[in-house]
Amino acid sequence: MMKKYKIGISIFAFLILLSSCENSILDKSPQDQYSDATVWNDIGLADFYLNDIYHGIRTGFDGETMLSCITEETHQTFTHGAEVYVEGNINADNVAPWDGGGYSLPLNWDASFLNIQKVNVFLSKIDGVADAYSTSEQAGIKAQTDIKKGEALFLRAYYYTQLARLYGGVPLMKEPNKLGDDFKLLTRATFEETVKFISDDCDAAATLLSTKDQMAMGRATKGAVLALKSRMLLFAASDLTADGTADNDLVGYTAPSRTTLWTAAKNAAKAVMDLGYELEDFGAPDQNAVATNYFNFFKEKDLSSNEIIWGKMYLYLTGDQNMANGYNGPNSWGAWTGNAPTQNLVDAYQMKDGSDFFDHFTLGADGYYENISSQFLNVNPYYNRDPRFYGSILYDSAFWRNRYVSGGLANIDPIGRYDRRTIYAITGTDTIKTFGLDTHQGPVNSMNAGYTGYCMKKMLDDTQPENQNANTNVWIEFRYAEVLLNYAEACLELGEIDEAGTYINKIRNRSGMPDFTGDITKALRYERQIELVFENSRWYDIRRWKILDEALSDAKGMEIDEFRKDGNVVTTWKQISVQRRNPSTKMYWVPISTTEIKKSSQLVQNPLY
Amino acid sequence: MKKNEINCSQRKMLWQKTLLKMKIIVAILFSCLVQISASVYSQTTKFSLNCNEMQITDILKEIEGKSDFRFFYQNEQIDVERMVNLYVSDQTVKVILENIFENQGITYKVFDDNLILLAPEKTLLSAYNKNSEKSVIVQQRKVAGTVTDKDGGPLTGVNVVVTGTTTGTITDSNGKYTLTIPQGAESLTFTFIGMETQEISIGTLTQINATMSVSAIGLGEVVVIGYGSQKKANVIGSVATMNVEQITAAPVASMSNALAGRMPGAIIQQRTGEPGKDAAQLLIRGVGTLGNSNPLIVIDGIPGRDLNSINADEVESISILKDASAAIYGARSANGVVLVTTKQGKEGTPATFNYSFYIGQLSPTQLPKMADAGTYAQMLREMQSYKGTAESNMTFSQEDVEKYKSGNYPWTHPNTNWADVTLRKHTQTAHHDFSVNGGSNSIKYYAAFGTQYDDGLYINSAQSFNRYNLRSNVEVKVNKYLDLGLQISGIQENRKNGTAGASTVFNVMNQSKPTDYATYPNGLYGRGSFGSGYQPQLIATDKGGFDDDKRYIINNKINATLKIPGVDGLSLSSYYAYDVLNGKRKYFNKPPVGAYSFDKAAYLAAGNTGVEDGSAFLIPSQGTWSPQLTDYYNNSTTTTFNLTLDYTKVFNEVHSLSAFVAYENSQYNTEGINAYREGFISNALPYLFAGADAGKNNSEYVDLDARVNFFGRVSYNYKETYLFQIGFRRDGSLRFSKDSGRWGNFPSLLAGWRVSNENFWKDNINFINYFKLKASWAQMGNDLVPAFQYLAFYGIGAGEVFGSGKTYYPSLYQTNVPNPAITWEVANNYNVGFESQLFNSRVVLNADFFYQRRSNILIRRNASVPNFTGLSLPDENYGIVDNKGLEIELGYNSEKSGDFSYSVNGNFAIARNKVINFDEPETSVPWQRLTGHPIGATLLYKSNGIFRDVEQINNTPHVSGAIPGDVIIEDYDQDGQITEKDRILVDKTWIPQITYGLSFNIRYKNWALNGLFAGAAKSWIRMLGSQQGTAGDYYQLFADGRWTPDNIDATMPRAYDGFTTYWRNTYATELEYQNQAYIRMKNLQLTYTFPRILINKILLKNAQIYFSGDNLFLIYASKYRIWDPEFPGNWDDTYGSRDNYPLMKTLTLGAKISF
Repeated sequence: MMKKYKIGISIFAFLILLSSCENSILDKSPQDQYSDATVWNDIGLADFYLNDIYHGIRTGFDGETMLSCITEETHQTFTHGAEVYVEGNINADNVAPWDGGGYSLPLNWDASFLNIQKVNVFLSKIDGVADAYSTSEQAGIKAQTDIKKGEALFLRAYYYTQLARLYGGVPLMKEPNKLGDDFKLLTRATFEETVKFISDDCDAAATLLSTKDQMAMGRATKGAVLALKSRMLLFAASDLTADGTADNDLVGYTAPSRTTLWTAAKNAAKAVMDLGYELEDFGAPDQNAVATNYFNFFKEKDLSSNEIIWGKMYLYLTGDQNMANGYNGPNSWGAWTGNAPTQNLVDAYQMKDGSDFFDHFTLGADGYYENISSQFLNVNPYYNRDPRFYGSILYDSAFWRNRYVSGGLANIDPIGRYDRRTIYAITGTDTIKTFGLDTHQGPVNSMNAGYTGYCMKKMLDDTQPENQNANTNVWIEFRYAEVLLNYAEACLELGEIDEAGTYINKIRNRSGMPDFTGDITKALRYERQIELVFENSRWYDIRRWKILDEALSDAKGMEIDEFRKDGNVVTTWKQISVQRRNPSTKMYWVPISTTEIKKSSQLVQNPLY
Repeated sequence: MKKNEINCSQRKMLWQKTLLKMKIIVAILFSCLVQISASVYSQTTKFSLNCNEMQITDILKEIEGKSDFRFFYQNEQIDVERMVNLYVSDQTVKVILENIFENQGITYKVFDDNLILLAPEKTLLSAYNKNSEKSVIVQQRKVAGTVTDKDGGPLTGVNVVVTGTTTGTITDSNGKYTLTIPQGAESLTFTFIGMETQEISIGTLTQINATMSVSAIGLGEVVVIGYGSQKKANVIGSVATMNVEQITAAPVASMSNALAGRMPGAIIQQRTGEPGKDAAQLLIRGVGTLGNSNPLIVIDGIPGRDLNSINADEVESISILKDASAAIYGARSANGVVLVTTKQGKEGTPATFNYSFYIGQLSPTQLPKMADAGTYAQMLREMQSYKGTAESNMTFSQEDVEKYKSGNYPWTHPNTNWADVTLRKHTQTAHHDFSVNGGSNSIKYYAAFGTQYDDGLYINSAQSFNRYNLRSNVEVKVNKYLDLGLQISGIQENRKNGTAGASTVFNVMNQSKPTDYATYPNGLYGRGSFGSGYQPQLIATDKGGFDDDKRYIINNKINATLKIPGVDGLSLSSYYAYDVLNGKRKYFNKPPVGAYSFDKAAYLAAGNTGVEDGSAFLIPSQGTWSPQLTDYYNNSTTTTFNLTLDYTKVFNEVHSLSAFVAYENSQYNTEGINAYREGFISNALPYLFAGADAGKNNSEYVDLDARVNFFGRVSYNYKETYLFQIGFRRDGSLRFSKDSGRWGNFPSLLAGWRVSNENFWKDNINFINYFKLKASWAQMGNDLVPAFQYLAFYGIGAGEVFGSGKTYYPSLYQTNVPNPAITWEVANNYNVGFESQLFNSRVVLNADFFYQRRSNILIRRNASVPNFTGLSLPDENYGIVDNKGLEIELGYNSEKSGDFSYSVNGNFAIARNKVINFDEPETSVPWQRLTGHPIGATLLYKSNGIFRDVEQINNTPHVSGAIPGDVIIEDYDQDGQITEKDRILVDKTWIPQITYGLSFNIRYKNWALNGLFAGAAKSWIRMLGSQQGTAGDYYQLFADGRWTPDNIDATMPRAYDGFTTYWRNTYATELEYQNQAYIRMKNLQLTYTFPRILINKILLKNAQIYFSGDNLFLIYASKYRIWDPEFPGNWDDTYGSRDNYPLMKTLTLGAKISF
């Protein structure tokens, strides 16, 4: 009996051995994450932390809504919250399209501040990294961390620029926030303080950062940070914030010195110009070449062009996906026509000789376009336009690319055209109506057809392999042409008309357009609208210039009908209304959401909300 | 024949051997009995019997028929249905009985009047053995008497024992007994199975008669209470239980669904009917926290095992611990605990084989009704006209609408009902279970093998669920000190699917437009509304690849119990469980082929009108991408170790003490890898090596968890009348910091008083034959938050592309701001209640009232920390929630005797929670403060009907941009504008506050009808279906009675587009809420049990067939609804829809046999 009892004891001893002692059970670290100590004692890991802040930057390729769709550039086919703004219904309770929802415009309040906190965590830790290394290595590590600090400061300035241009003055934070802090102490800084904060960060970053040729492609450069400063100071010096009529110091200067502000803006642009960037050659004066090369420029796969100051590169399947083709391409190629260019934008394109479109066409009583030109006689309004029109917009019957599949659609459309026309074939009393492939009643993916009659072309890639649903072309955030236009505008505002004119024409001539005639302000604004179309610039411009009323008039589209009878073909172009828009003064700024104000009553809401 | 003979001869040899053994044993054991009662008749009367595979009961009947002997036994004690072979010639009844009950632990006593009492050895031995020893005591006297039942009938076989001793006897056939009692004996205890135990003091009496009354039902039942079990009569916690019959009453694939309607206080809701994924969500007493409210599942003592992969046939019992009784699970107990115990063999029973099966037919209880083509086209035109869309940009012309309505233009204007072409009317389920159980004196075993098969509802289904369960539970008595046990359960689950999940299929099915082709008139597939990649008919098949998801679960447990020699009642027990889950999934995705585009342009251009055949204009769609494969492999292991020192003893027959202290730890590790390749040139080899090198990708993930626990419990009762239980637990978890918050203490206190045992009760209110009051308090914990939030940690995230060669670099991001102070949620739980049985236990009435205050609730302070801080918030211990409610059970059982009997059992539970302190934004208007409202209360605008016309809009505060046909929003704060302040906090949550069930059971001869009505009330869900309008079809509910310029006094709003209209997005009103109150016939089952006489001939012990129906019909539900009211669906952000695999009505035919 005792023997069996011993067996029992040994079984228990075995069971106890199977369990281990308590401390080793509970004292564990996560296996799928790095600890604080690991990250901030390793220059390599610290650098990876910075990648996340770069990753926070959103471009026009990230979502189905681009800033274009809250301007006259495009109409969002699926609305996605853009209508809340353009129809004038935005308020603090409904801040769409900046509400952070699935289709929200990039970098709203929350997303910008989230990244600012990340920068501040980085800045509070990065100086300590060198201490983890041996004395002999420290100097070398310090040199690297200084550059990274410069990148971090650039990124903080970038996110603050985003906020300042959306909301005006915002809480300024240089230290990371911690749980348990009294957040009541953080209030909105004035617009002036905010701009100064950004400008100071830019200056500090510029001294730490190297030029483009010395930095890995895609990382912040001296040029990028100076271009950012130029963009911010141009905005600050403009009418919206600096004409002395701002409602309060959160959304403008109360007693601005325009000369000082414009001079600062001019100098900021000049600082970039001194770095040796150059405009790309599009083959001017050959307008056909320009049309092709202007389009090709935005299909670049990397940032090496000397016109590109800074931007974001994409790979297929890895990292953020550039869905430009999918979001914005024509429906008959299986894409969604998300941001559809409006008739308003198309009408803005000059004729190829620099004259206004409406010098040659007029709108008839029923909205039909009528040619009244003595010079350009073709009734088709898409003929003889600024070459950049052909590089930017797909219009009815324009060539896009060959059909993906041989047979099928290729039988109907062997060329590969964007087809927005409705054909009425009339024989006797019978009429057979055929809707174009890209129309709303057409036979292919018609629910994804745009309402305006146009499709984006600039920034799309007609060489993207058919089986690939993401683009690999770059998003250009800063390019030299913008800086030159910034410079020209500052000069113009400072009364340096000739200097301004020189640079406006430089941009025009590069695109095969003759020197401007007439009003120089109008010419400058035309260049910014046309040259920088779809580049997330227009919405800020129409606000800085305080021309929201004009720019956000109802969105128009084009209806194209072709009548075939007895061998005759007659085509009509008729303007239609696509979206009622209702601009109002409050829309010059974006409201802080009610939810956020509820959490922090010290925040003052923007005017008129 | 030959084979049988050999078997027979072998058996004979065995018989002879045992017979000899038996004779010796019996001679020793019964020498004392014989001297008292052996009659000459029993020695001289001899029998010759030739019984081949006969039931014992029949043999006994035969003996009774041939002699004056009468047998008396209790069915509960003796298995008289057992089959035996008996061949005797000229033998005494003694020898025959020895033969029959060989090794069964059964003995007998022959009384003077030739009555033979059969009973387990233990009973008779305790009654006589000691008695005979005591016979040497000189000073003794005799007490005699008669024991009768309430109606005066004599009771035979009643145990009469001198209280506190083992001295006793048994009443004879006339209910009479005579007992020699030792000196100092104070009272006699009368016990009889099924009767209330009685104690009568002796005093100077020599004649003591007793009248026994029927004991309350079920009180002897043993209830699993967590780290132990108790007699039901002694349970003082609020514990809901289910037994074998209830568990298998409804055929279910996922165990959780078997609980619905039968467990008062448990809210069981099924969210989808998808094969293999149809598990119900379990909530115990509603929701008491703003954080995670999932209860703890414990299977055979091991926390965290999967309830839904277990085969319901393997389960012996389920207990739900709802109050302080759960506190023994400490930091994981606050949301309640579900205890599942699997079956075990029984000591000393021969092997019984059981086979059960069912096959069933399933059909959806309700599918959303969608608008037809004509209605859809019409509504779209209306919607576009309200938007001001130019005629040229309108999707359908007026002519189109007419053509859709006419149905005469199948080639250009189809009218597709997507559900009809995607789904079958019925699908199938099948279940088989084979088990064997039994045991000898030293070994008990239960082994089972079960299969479950559920087919998908799709036509040409690529979907199926198969599960195989294998279990072996073995207990070995090594010697009188040591028991060893081994439980092994192996489960394999195979889920097969197309590449699209059910939510995708059902979303696109309901969103697809009726104006698109599903199938062309010539039978070929159309591309559907969203392209062939989302053509519901296609993606529900394997034409687009497959998703083959396999799970292998192995649960192992070894346990040992050691009785400590020398200390009576002290034992040491331990168990170690090693559970493994391996997952293996293959996801092969290829462009679905087989769909055709219709070249409508060319068809019309050729002069066709829509009536003529268009086959020539169909173009096969081709994949524009190459097939992709992702392989997933994962492995998780959980180990649980427990060591318990247990002491159980009854002092002086009246003080019953049971106590234990225990140590437990558990560790969990998981890891998994996935690998991806694309560019497969063929579908024939869906393996990684057959894919292209370019674009390949892989990853790995890991996770861990660990706990250490110390705990103990003392249970004490005095005469089963005064009941106490004290528990304490100390838990450590790696989720929280060593410096603060890691360890938590969880005390519990329970007390009960069985008032019906008191004389004052018996004398005055004896119509309530059982009444127990109970009260409990405990502090319990909830730690269901991600681990390590006390530390700053960095995860690997998406990165950027840098460098002229375009290299991708990932990033590191801080997962959250550290909260070093994080610790458990604390629940203070109070429960008072009573259990009662009335009118001889005909009526059962139980009630519990509970109150729980949950504090230190783990939530993120998203509502008060401003977003501009940029903080990614960790969980913090913040907020207080009260939860209280009432549970009532009322049942009636008819007499069990006769051909007809029935019982009815109802349960009703109400639980309502209230937020007491919460992370509120500081400037909310009073009517928006969540404090004082239930969790999940929603801020909603109030709708005031539909705008008739522009004039009404101009005269009413309205959302800017409102047009006629829009919803009128009430200006709640009457400031003349519709602002965010007009939202009211409405107590409409998806968790029902009231749940109830009513089950009945009617038996007539061999027929039984069981049924369950179940229902819920006070629950709502937002109906916002999928994107309706340009993107997809409208629900018919929103098409009927809608506002149009011709119907301006409408009750339903105008045609709208997706979520763009204000009342469909920011200005949500209660108009969009579906009332989820319902009563339904949840289950109805008709069973026929074959008569013994019939089945014994084919060597069966038991055979039943049944017909069963689940979710048969709704008795009550709101008409204003899209989905089944029991089905809250899953809000799918991607598709903006609740559409998902529907709940199923199930009709099954099944059978159970044992042999």
